[in-house]
Amino acid sequence: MALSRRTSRPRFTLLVLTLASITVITLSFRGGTTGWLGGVRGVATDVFSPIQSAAGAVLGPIGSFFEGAANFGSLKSENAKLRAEVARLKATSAAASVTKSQLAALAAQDHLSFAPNLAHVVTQVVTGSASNFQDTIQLNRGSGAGIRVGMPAVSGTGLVGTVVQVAADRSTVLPLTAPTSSVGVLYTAKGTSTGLALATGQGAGKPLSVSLIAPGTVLFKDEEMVTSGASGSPYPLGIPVGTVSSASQSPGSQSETVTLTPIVHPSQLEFVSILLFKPSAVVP
Amino acid sequence: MISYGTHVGAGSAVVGPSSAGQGGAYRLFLVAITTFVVQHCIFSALRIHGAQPDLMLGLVVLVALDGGPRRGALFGFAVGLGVDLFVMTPFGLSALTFTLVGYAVGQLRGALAGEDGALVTTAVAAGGAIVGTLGYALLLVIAGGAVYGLGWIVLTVALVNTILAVPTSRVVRWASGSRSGGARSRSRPGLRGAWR
Repeated sequence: MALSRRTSRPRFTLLVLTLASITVITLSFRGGTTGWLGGVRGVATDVFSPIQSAAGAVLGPIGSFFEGAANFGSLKSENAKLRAEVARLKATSAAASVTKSQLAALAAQDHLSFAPNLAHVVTQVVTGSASNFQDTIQLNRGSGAGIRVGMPAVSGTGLVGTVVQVAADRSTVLPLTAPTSSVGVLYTAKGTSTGLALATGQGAGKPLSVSLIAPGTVLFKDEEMVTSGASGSPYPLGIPVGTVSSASQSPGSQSETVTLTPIVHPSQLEFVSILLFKPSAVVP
Repeated sequence: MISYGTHVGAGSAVVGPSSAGQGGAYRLFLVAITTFVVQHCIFSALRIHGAQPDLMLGLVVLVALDGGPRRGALFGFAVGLGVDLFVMTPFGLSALTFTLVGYAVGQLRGALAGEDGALVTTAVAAGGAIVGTLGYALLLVIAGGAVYGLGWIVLTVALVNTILAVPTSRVVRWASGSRSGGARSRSRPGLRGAWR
């Protein structure tokens, strides 16, 4: 009897916890990212951010060491390229420093050529995603700076993604390259006017997949596609998204298979600007 | 040598060499928080082909191996909910995965009675990492998500969790107040702690 109770107790616990997990998953689907779940996650981020900042200051160099160790192969080839670049720079007497490049990156954020009339908040990247299954970027400013869920995130050169979660002094951006991201884009076909298509992420480091381009459409290689700014779109018109890297068509297909190389690589960003844009706002 | 096993005493099957009690729960909570900070500040930067280690999954596996199916499931659920607060995948997915992994690994514990501790720990950490990562990916796809680069993710998680398994298991055993099997555990056959 005692043995039976002992062995059934873990099973009962498993049943209860499994049902609780499924209930929470269901509730999170119903609530979305802006409901109760967004609030809970925001509070958790606010509580954790001071610990993260302190620990990051102490443990950051160790993380950088591991990062360097993990990417040793690519660092070697990058090192060779850098040596050539250094030689070229020496020849032209051009001096470059980390501070200067950071200033340049920051200056690029200050003047966004594709959105000159939109107010924006410049933020610094704190960390990447804590998950293997969702690429996100955490920024050091949040609702206190006027950032809201759904606002577009850009760099000095183009679109980065969308704000998906906001805490008091942190915000999380889902990059355009994430598999769950998509954006309406404008393209120019050879001999025709512009058309509308949909660019979807396929994971970090991979090109965007573009759909809804009619068969037979001839696209320019390296042509830049920009946000469409269509009615209801979370992005204003004209933000550079990517350049055409390939286009093909399979027999019987309803649309062309087009890939787009993103203009911005989210993993290499130091600064990100959040456009204080609402879909209903007048786009310049 | 550390050994895992089921001890029979006073007419009842006893799973686990010792009781953890509230002190053990607090220490495990601290270990979980510390592990999360280390994961977030150090190991999130250690990316191999875009994949990063998953120390929290490794911790759940080792706690379950040390404490049995009930503690494994409870700890997995709690840690999973905590992880879910900081990732943008469906809330509760980590909790469900870690609960199932914790329970399954805890069930293995009885079958591994008398085996060499370090070998068992390493093998179970590797297996738990692979099964846990694949399970999470499967649940994510069922929930409507997309998974890319799964091979590298599984490889990275399994590799790092296996390397860290033995030292982490010592921390877990300290935190939960466990001792190796033997006279001490037999002298405390009950599972009275609320944590169990």
